[in-house]
Amino acid sequence: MPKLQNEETFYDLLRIGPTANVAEITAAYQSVKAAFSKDSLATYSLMPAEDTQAILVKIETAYVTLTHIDKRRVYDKRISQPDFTSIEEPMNQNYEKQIPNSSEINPIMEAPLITAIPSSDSICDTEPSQLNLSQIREKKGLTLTDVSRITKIPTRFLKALEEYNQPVLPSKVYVQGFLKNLAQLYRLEPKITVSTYFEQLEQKTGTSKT
Amino acid sequence: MALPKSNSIASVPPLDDSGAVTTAKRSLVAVPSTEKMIWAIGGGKGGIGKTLLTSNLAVFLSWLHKKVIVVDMDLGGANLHTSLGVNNPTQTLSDLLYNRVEDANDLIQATSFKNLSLISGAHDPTGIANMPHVQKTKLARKFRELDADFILLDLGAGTTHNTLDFFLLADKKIIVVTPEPTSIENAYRFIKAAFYRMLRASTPTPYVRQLIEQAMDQKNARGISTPKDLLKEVIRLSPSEGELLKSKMDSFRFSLIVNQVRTSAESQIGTSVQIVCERYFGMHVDYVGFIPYDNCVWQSIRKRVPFLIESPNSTAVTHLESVLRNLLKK
Repeated sequence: MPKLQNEETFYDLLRIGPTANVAEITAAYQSVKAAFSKDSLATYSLMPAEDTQAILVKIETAYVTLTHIDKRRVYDKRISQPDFTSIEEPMNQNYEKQIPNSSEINPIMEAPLITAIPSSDSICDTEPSQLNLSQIREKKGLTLTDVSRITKIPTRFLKALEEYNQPVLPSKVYVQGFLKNLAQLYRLEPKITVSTYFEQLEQKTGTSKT
Repeated sequence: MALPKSNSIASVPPLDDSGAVTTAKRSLVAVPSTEKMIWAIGGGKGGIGKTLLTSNLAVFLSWLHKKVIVVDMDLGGANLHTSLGVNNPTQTLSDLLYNRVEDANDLIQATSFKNLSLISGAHDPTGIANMPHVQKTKLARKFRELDADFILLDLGAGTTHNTLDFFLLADKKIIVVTPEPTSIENAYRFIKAAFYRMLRASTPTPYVRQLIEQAMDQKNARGISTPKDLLKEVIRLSPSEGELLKSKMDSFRFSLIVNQVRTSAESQIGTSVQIVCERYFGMHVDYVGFIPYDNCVWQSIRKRVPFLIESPNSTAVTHLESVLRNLLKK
């Protein structure tokens, strides 16, 4: 039986192999997203807007799932089942049960980017002190070099950020920029990431560079 | 976007003493010494640079010591000879079709480039643009008999059956687009028309043919709007026919060149079109690169000299070289 669209996996959707690392997934996600985005020339006259919208939603879900180490493991297990049929099925229902420790990586946003940012009180629930950049990065399966390649932030600054090594860090405005970039990559809420980080920096060093 | 780099750079072929050595020296293009290759260059819309790309690719290939014949298939609107600086061709395709000439090799006109010659479609009676199927088959056979390593067919704009059929008979099908909605729209139209025509021609079963014809009509009652829908429908009706159709769909592939790129955002369009085509048609697209918009190109047209000769150090030529390398590789 030929493979049809409804059997398409997230890997097929992003045009990557089953062993792709996060850097490859991110690059693939960006190019596939660009192809189907609203102002893309490439879909002009070929696909109606509803179709591209549906594809974009799938692309977001695919990206969120595959760049999350636990979600990806669960997903990989699911698609290896013979009765796997569709990527449409919501997979969040039994997901929480299977990964008991998923809450420890808050405040990572679990929802796809295109859905609205969760209301502010849901973000405030998470302990600000839980922001641990190196832990989040390792969860994503990224090395400092990977992150540096994607974000174009030099590794020495990434290292300094993770170690709260203030003497190495540049002035606050640059650090804010770095954090926002990192937040985008790690799917954190940018503003909260920045404010949390500076609170933590202040606690650890006692001062804050201006 | 960075173009895909070739990792199999072979030694430079020895140069002859033709005028433009500068670029040829740079070109590290490995040409496989295989049998005759027919390349067709099309793209649906007019004015996107098909003829210009054909002539420049042809000159480049001739520098690589390949015997190249360019055929102006823009019947009724031929101007390839002008872009190569050849004045009024004496014998044209119609001489062959109306049996005034027996051997297609007699139609070949020399150009000022070594190894490169031309078969023109210029000054033909307008009727030739609507040639019957018998003549098409004859012409296709004659092309294969030509004494050359590469035969480049410069197709006209539009989706006439002639254009589609010569596109489909080529070993390498090249689509040119520019980063404009009009060009993209016409290119999709062209691809769709060629794709369905190929499927229809290779399907023996009447009811599958009928389904394909319905799919070609966008407003069909069965709700078949994409090739994937068509495949699903055929599989539903007969899995074995579906299998056959699937293999036909898989074997169809074309190369994509984006021409007249002015911004870096526009250079992404090739990849985007590739992704969208793969998804929509389920076909393979080789994105072979883009040619940036370059003033030297229109200036070279005024002088009736390929831009490769006129401005060998332009960015357009650098990208052309990379495009050719990818075309030869895939």
